[in-house]
Amino acid sequence: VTTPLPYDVCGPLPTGVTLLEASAGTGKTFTIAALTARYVAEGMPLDEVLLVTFGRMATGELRARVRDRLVSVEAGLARARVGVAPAAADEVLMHLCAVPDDELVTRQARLTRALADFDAATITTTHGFCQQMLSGIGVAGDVDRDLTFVEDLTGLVDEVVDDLYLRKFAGRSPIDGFDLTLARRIGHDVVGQPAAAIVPQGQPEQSVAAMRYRLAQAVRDEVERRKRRMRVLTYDDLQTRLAAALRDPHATDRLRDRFRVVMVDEFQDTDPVQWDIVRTAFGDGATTLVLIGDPKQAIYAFRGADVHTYLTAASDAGTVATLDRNWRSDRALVDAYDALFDGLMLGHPGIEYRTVQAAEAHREAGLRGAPHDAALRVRVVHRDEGRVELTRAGWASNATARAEVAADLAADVVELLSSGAELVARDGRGAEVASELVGPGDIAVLVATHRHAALVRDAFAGVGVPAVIAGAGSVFGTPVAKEWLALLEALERPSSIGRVHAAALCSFVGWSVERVATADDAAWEDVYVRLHEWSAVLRTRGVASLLESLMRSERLPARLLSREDGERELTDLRHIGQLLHQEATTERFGVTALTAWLRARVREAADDVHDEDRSRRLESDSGAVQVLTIHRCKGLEFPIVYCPFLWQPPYMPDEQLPVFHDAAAGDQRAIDVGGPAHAGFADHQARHVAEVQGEALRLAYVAMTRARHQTILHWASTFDSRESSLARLLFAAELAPSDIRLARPPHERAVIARLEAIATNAPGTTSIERAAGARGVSWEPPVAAARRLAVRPFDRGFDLAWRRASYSGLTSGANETGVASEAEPTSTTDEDIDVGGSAPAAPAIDPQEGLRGVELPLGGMPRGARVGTLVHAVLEHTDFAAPDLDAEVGRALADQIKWNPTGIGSVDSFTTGLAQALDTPLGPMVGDIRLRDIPTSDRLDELTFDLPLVGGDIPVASLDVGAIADLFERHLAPDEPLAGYAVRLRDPLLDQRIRGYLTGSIDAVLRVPGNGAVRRFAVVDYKSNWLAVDGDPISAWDYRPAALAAAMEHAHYPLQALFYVVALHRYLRWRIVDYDPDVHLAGVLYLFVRGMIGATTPVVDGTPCGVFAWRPSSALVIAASDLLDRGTGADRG
Amino acid sequence: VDDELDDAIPVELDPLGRWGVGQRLLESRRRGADWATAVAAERARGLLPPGRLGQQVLDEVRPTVVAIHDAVTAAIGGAVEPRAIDVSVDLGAEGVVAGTVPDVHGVALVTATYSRVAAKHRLAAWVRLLALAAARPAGAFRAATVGRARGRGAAAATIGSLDASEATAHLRTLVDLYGRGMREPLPLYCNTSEALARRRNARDEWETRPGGFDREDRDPEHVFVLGRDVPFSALLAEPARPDEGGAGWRTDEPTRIGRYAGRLWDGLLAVEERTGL
Repeated sequence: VTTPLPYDVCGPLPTGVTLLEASAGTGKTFTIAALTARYVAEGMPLDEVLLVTFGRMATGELRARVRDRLVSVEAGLARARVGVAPAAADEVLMHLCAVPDDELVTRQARLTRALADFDAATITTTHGFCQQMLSGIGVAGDVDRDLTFVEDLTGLVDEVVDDLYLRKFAGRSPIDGFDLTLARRIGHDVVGQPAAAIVPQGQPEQSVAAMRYRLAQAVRDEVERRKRRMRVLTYDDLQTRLAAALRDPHATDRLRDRFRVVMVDEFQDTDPVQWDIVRTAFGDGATTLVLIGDPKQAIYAFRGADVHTYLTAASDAGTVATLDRNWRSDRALVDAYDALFDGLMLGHPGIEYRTVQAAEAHREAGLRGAPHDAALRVRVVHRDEGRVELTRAGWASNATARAEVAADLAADVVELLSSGAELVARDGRGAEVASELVGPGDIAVLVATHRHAALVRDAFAGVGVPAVIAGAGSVFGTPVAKEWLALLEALERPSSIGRVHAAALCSFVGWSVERVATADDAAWEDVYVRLHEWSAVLRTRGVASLLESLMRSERLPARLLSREDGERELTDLRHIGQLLHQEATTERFGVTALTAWLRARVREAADDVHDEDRSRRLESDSGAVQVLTIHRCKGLEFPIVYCPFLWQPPYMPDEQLPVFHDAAAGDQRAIDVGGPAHAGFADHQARHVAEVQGEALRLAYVAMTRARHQTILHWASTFDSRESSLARLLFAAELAPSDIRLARPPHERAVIARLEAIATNAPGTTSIERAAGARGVSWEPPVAAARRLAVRPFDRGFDLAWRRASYSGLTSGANETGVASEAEPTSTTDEDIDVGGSAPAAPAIDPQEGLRGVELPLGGMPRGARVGTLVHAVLEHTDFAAPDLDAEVGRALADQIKWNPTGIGSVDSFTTGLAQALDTPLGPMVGDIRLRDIPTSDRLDELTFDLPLVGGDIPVASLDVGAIADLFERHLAPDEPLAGYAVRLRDPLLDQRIRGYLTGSIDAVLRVPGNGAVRRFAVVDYKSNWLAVDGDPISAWDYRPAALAAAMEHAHYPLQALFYVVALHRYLRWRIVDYDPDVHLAGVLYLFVRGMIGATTPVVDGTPCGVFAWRPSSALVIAASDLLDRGTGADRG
Repeated sequence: VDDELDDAIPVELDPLGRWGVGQRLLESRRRGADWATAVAAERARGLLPPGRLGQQVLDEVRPTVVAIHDAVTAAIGGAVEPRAIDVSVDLGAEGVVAGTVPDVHGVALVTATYSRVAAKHRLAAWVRLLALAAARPAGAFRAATVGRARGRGAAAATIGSLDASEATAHLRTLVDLYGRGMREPLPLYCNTSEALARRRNARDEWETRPGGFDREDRDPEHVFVLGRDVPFSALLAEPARPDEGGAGWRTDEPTRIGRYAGRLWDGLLAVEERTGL
């Protein structure tokens, strides 16, 4: 193997397949961003570049960095055009500017275009890429629409294993050593490693190994079957299915056509399926494929990453190069690592440490004035100090050594923080530009497990140094979760004495034990009352309201924050409240179900470590030492880093099934489910252990290379330390490649001697210290100059006109009857209706008197907003085109009334009445079509909109209700039914200025036949209003066209109708080719369902009763749309 | 309050699930059901795994259920219907001990449990027998608590008949402890104090080992009062107080926890016979 050459980011652009090996701190993201800028500047459209990285956060960062780079290059080119040379430190920009002037112009134009189209750039996660591509290749991708993604299959796998186990053993005698626990472990491990081959195959039919093998296969198959049946998909499935789809060359061609440059970041974390996809699609040499990664940082085998894939890809790549300059760490630290790691293989012969150069800026140390200023410090626990317990053989006991190291670490941090040491900021040439005191926030402690993290955090708590654990397991494992549980249990049964006493003790009430023991009846009465109130809040308004009212009424923040750990508790308390609210809302849980759910989460909390949503949040990220696991610190950097437990070997549970790579099978990953009885097991187990141990070396590398200025390691000679990564790094020379441990644990003296020998290769960089940190010390934070505290005055002004306005919000001020879009006028008198001016005052015989005899089936339906809501819900969930409409309405009613328990009078007349309404011709505007003629594919329910008003966030003009009235006046002919509305809209009570957004929800949009093949669109609003005079019998007469027009104007419905049409107009304008309001807008239908009685609905002058149809002129619609957008003049503030 | 029912078919029972099966079968047998009827009822409950998987559990618990049932029958000495006896003992200034003692078969106060005969069962029998003896001086009551032996078969703790004045004196001691316990949390932990009183390894009753079953240091009430994972040595560190001495106390015992252990257990230990425990 030849050493790859250093890569020059200003050299020829890569072609074919290129692999860049980038050690820690060598600027992977920088390189990707620079290459992207170069590709774009030199002629590659940005939308033909694909950038893939791992994880959502990494994607966000990459996106930002690439954009920043494009921006700075664009600006640099612009300056170069006017003769300003780029800074010498920016080699990429220098390179791009070294062209003739006309090319400069072209390049700048390309970057400008790329920035304008930046949203079209494909910068995504592996999973996002798979998802996009699967939908991009259409039916070739074997993925149904409407699938649900799931991250956790635990429940499903348990169920499958239980079923298979039961099927096998319910009727026959169980077999020794094959219990359910084992079966479940096999199930979970093989499903969790979908890319691993299951071994051992071909064992004797009756052997346990063969049975275990069959179970493993059966679980995988059955889980797959059930996933399809349940219409769920895991992220792994996306990959598998895309890989399968790409066996079709047409699918591959489509991907290849889209992208000409593909860069994959963090490539060491790839897996065989991902590599299969990338190689198949882009590895043919025609596409430029740049793979960037660092095999030394391959530490995610537990979640399926496979460094062997990287190594295979590396051997296939046309070009392999390395990034050889470290932009992160001080030169002394880089030199110390070079001395320590030089020539080592980190777990595989193909994973070799390569020396790197520190960047010019980091020539000098960045930490100044520290008690120990060496870049690499190793603090050794000496057993002769008497601070650790010794085992019989004389080695340090693990538990006491850990405690000792944690205490020493805390003391060392106190010494550092109290020393006045400073961090120096430098410019690109290494000149000092600023300095500041080292604070707790500059320090990170990296550990392997959450338990170690807790140990360290407790040690810091003991010396007064603030520390936070990042990602410290599930929030449901915290004491606060139990408090929430106690509260919910009490709210579930606020009369249970035991539950109430338990609730009184938790933070929400905050009583002390003494108070619980001695409180008198009156005090308890007060608690009971409060709990009953809270119970009502929870029942009627949900968890979020409960939490907020507790926050206020119980002054929770004040009470909690006065405690030492209060910030932590408050964070957890809010976090759990939000999770509870989410669950209660999505699952529609009542208090009992919610309590049960929380109880189950608390019980499972210890195993629940992967769910991001449940992972404890940081209570504060300012000014605290960060304690985090090495797996989480990937990609991060800190000024000062402690790695206190590298002398502990990796944790390998005995019961875990061996996952290993089989060299004989082309380094294919395999999982051995056969158990210790079969012949190959010992070998597989040994390979597995060797791989875990190899990864431990890489974890050590990742941990140590997080530091910018100083890394502090600890050593303790325990018996297990001979298997630790640090021992195996230090004494690598004594180990054969296959050895996973030293023959015996190293003595402190041997460790020190070895460290001294290594340090001679990097003089002055390393110090070896006794871990004998002072006890009883604690940190006093520097006190800021004394300031007088005062209550901050509130002197900001509010823009009270800015809001998310809705029709009902705009009209509520003026409408004395309080019309909301669902409510109805509480009293509708004749006089009110006559405002429209249709009913003659003369005692002449009304030609429509006969309508008074037409009864309405929905006439007996109770009135009120709740019934209105129910009617809407039922209509939304009814398939109008169902053959048996009564049955369909009945079904929808039965479903919906569960969520909206409402008195509706007779169920039969409700059902028949609504079915008849659906059967009513809707008048000439829509060709007398009936709702029941509209299949679900031709209707869109609950179309919601948010339209920016005069600029939205930043208003650019002014708009008031009067201007809308002007529109009505200008565009409505005096003989039109709503002609009188403009006057009503000029009601002084309505006069207001509006800014912000106009929001609303249209009950339904119908697609109805138009001229020839053209289809038109109509807005539908359902109304359940009672329009009869109180005390009079209700009849079709109350719903005759003139009455409807009056009711419309009375309730300001025309304003609502106009808003809805404008929303529909805009919606269609964005979607229909050749959109023309004259052609495509059918109009507005206000359907007063009480008046709609089917085919027999009386028709007055061609218009059916109960249906109010209005076709605002296209000119009015366009004018209204423009008015909402531009307003009437400059903003008056 | 964790009373949710699992809606999945049980496939394999955990130790608590197995205990439940044994306990319910024993109760059925005690109520007079024959084995087949008891098993049919247990299957119908849906808490047993189906088919052979359930049979395996039944085969496992059966010998123990039979042994306990036989031992109980022997302790009662014939078929006698159990009765409940109301008792009331006037202790003068210290108050009145009143209540109902169930499971009295003739003169034998017999309790059967599928559990191991633990400190709490023995204490319960002790208090009930004291109340019976003090309230009904002529009764000549005795007590037997039968449960699972270490390994196979049955174990029992028995107490012979007590003199009424003796019983009253012991009751006074217990009422005194009760009074102290109502004023503050006492360092009196059931299993730990029993082991301490018998000068056995009390530390193992208190401290939970890594990966082992929870011991008394993990009892929620102890965690609430003392905190989590308090070492046994910390319990021993507290010395007895001045008012915790005199007659009925182990005055040679320096630790507070030791004083209370003696005070609670000495009376019972002096008269109790233990077989198979």
